[in-house]
Amino acid sequence: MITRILLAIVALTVVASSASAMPRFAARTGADCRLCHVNPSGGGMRSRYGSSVFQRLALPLTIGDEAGDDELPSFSPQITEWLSLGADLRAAYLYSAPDVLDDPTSSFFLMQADLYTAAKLSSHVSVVLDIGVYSGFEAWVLVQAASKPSPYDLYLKVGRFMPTFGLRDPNHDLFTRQGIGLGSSDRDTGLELTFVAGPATLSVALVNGTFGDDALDGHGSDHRSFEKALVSRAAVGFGAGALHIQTGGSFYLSDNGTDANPLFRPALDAAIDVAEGVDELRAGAFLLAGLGPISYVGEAVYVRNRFTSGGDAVGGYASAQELAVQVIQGVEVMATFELSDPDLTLAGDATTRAGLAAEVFLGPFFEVRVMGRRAFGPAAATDFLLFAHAAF
Amino acid sequence: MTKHGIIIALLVLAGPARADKPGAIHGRVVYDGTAPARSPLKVDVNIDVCAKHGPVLGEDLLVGKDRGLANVVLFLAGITERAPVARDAKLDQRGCVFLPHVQSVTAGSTLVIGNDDPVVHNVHARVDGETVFNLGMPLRGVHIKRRMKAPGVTVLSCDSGHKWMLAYVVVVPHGYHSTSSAEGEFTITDIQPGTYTLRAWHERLGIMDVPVTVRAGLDTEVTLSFGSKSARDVPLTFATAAEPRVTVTATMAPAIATEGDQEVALTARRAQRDVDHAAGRMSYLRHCASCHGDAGDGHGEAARWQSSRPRDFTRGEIELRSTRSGEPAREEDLVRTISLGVPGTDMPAWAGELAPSERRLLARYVMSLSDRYYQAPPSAPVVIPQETTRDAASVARGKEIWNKLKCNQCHGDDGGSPGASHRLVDDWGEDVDAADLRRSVYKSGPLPADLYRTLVTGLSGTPMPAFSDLISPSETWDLVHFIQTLAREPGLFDWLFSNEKE
Repeated sequence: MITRILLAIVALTVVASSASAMPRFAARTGADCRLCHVNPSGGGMRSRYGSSVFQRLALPLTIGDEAGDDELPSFSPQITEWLSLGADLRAAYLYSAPDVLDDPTSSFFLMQADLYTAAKLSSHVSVVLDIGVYSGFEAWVLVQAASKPSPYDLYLKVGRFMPTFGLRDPNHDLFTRQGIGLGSSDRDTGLELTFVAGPATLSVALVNGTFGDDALDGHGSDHRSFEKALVSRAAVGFGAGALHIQTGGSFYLSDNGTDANPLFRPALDAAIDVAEGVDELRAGAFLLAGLGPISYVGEAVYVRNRFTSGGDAVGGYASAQELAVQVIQGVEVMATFELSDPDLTLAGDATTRAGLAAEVFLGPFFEVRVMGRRAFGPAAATDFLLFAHAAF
Repeated sequence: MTKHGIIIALLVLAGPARADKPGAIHGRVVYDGTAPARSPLKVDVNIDVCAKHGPVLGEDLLVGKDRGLANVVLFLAGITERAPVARDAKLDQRGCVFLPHVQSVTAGSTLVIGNDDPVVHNVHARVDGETVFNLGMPLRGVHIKRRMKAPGVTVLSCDSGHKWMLAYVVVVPHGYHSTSSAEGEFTITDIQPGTYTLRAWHERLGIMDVPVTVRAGLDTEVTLSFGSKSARDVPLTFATAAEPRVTVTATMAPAIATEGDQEVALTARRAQRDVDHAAGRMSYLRHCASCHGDAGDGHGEAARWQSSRPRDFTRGEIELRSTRSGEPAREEDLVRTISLGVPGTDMPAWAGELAPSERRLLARYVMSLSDRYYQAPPSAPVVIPQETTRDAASVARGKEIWNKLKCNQCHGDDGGSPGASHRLVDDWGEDVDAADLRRSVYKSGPLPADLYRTLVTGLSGTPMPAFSDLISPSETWDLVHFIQTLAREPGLFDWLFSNEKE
């Protein structure tokens, strides 16, 4: 019974997502994150185009559109010329049947409830606050060099945020997200510079290098002084006609951190005292490709941990891929495949997971998603997920 | 005068002086510098016709015998009295060159435009960057008439790839004007005695003013020495510094006649503009500004990712109109575009999202971004007659018209552009493609009447001209029927590779 409850809790935890970007839309349009998100690195609060145009008119089903009613004012999250609100709410039903259990578990739960506020203080400075019921909070100041839209720009982000690494997929339980320490609550505090030059972007961040949700990010304060984590991502986009491609690489180096990467935690040698310090390296590559209604999103990440307390360094690999087709506007079908291999052997501890999903944007700001997924390996299980998502 | 390097000789010619008789100004413009050689222009389209008689030479600085400077427009500035009757003027296209290169006409005059070449020309006229008319002229020997109403420098170019073709028609709000000949000579007659400012304009050198005293019944001779040092590079106006600027409007024809009623109406319209601007600002920022920009200049933060450039509203050029070529769009046109979107582009249809009152609010706000909509009362929409019978005969006639108008030169033989042998650019200098008519996704809308409207009005800001002067209403319907036959069912290839939005 205890095992079952624990597994249920784990299952609920891993599917809990925070507001994130939809890389497949970027793949199809060739646009970068800034088109739809306030954060130049993507995810979280939508830009005014993202909420007022894309979510409202480019995403939902157009069947049954009727002329607006004169009696109803149109909804807009832009309160004034300088103040905007946003929100993400996801409610889900999860059915999970781990192979190690005789009986499956099932539950309704609230995956996410985030409230966003963005204030544009001037043509160069904005403040963004994201208060999440489950995934903690983000709060940062964004300073933008260009006062007008420009293909060349420089952003400075200071505060508490999700460091820019790889693709910020909305599924935080992906092996390449939560599976390697980039889950919904793995925010960090520091500063980040983002350079934009036409189709190329480069982000470089200096952050504390922590896992988990801790407002003070005080992990390691007992033994760390100036040790920090350096995070970087470079991306470039190109294309011809309806074909759009974006590719890039990411890098994360944390000096003398306080915990092992989640990729290794289940199988870590008990003799290793991670509290003495962990040097972590993550290096990843990603590819987004879009051709008309078809999109491919793939990411692979190598992770290595060295432990101050001694022992051999451990290296592992995680990848996630999604092939999606927009059947008609508002209806998407997706196939996913993930691999998590904590010892680079493709055997033993390696886990693979394959899924099928359908997503329907029933109206502006609202979607429902059904997903079936099967994992093979040590955590073999069959999951079925249904969730409703409202966001603006 | 001398500090401007102007040499003026005033010579009162002999003759009996009569106080009540008008005088005249005879003069000559000489170039103050070394006459440059005329450089050949790059002719890369229709070479067999356009370069048939040798290279096409530049006309932007023509210096003739004894340094006589040609193509200088001269007129009296600050004149507010009623002008002589407007006359017709001619503009020909021969050897892919506009003839004459520069001329002045009285506001209200009719410009008769001809095409003597066996190639497609497309006369696009603009004043201060705003389209006055945009007319396809694919037929040799056919003439089109246009009334020149808006005072100012009308710049005419050809959108059919003949980038070197350029002409200037300076529309003067009165009749006291002239254009210097190849020898630099000019004459302005029937001038009431008095002291005037004689203003000279040259396309390249700029503007210079000369005081001139005209005596009753006498001819005054003036020589202007015009050079880059003596001229000012400023916009052309028709007023003098000493007098209040003469307000001229697009409807003011044939003479200047700033009637009190018009002034009152203009003031009322501009007051309405302020109201519209304030009322629609927030809605515009919420729904439109991310693409069209906070200032309405088409430079919103999302613009760079759009498949087509968001429209710059500050120039008042609304692509989809129900008005004649060159006339501003109507409020209803904007409401329609906002409601239905622009098929084939990223401009979405807002009808399902915004209430009718808000769409109208937005339309008025967009109009408030350009003074053009408040200079004159709204133009009347073109009349779309009832559709004729769509049958095989009509389609066959439409095909003949398609060939006659050489539509394939932009849209391709089967309607699936690109068919143009040259770059197509919009008014902002950006490359555009002619519509792929096989997809049957028309910017103007899905109905036959929408196609009809596009054919008779053209699409502002794009190379698509108006053909209303060349084909009758029944022929236009025939052409619509033929264009509809070009549509074909989209295949897998279209589904995968089309960049256009339905």
